[in-house]
Amino acid sequence: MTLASRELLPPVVATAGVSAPPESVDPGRDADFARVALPLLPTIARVAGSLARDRADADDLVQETFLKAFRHWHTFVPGSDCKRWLAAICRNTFFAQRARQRWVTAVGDDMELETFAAVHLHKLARDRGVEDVFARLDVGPAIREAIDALDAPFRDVVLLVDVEEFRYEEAADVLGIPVGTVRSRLYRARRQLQASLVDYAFDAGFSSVRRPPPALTAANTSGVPHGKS
Amino acid sequence: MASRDECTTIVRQLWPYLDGALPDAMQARVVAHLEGCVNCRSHFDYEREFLAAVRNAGASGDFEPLRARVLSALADQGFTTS
Repeated sequence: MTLASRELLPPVVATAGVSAPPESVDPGRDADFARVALPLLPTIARVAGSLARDRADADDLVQETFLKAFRHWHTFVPGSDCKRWLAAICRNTFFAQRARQRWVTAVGDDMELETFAAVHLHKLARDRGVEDVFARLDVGPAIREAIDALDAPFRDVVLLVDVEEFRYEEAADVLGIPVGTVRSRLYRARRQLQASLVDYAFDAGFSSVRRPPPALTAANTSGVPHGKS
Repeated sequence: MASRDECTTIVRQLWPYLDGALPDAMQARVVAHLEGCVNCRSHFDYEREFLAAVRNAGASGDFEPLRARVLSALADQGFTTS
């Protein structure tokens, strides 16, 4: 763990052996926790899902995260970034519980190539007549299916950055990988998702481009109107 | 009309721009270019719609069973909802 990432840890998880606080006499504590922290459960569920490889383990991790957060709610600075605070607790809880399998994924570092690939895919969508697919079609199910089909390292960054709107640096902190790796995996994942969407839209018949007529030959131009025998 | 080189430079910034990860100076440069380049703007608009579709698609999910479980565990720790 780098010094920079350690500095990002909330105090409760940076101090070993911290004891539980005495029972709070602040009647607003529970209300504040319910208002500020609990709505972030879906977000933390996705963070946990990116760490734990099993759904049951991820749910256990979510529960433990919120229990820890509640016990140490007095250390949370009101108005600060609760999402980041909870995500750090989740991540550190995970690392404290088990060793993390290091993903060895051969990821090309050519982010520029992936960016130009995205432009190419836009042109492809335009040529295939599916450029306005987002306006004309509910692509939600197709996107969810495509996300599920991604390899885990790529799916994780998409869920954190594109769905939960973590910044690159925040996603890097959660996953324990360099920012550059977040960017390269993210751009490649986006290209894969876009390619899947273009194919899905075209195969589903949502193209606005008519299929070209059959090529004119001597057999179909001998005085007979096109299409009739 | 924007030069081809400038378009290439701007397109390289497509994802960081849409992710809000550009330094201020480059952010301003991209904005200025897009105001005058229909072709680049079409690429950025398409990718912006794509990212919005991904965000909306991924945000769905049934978290109620997990939420109920977490609330029950919190209640064991003295958490109360008024």
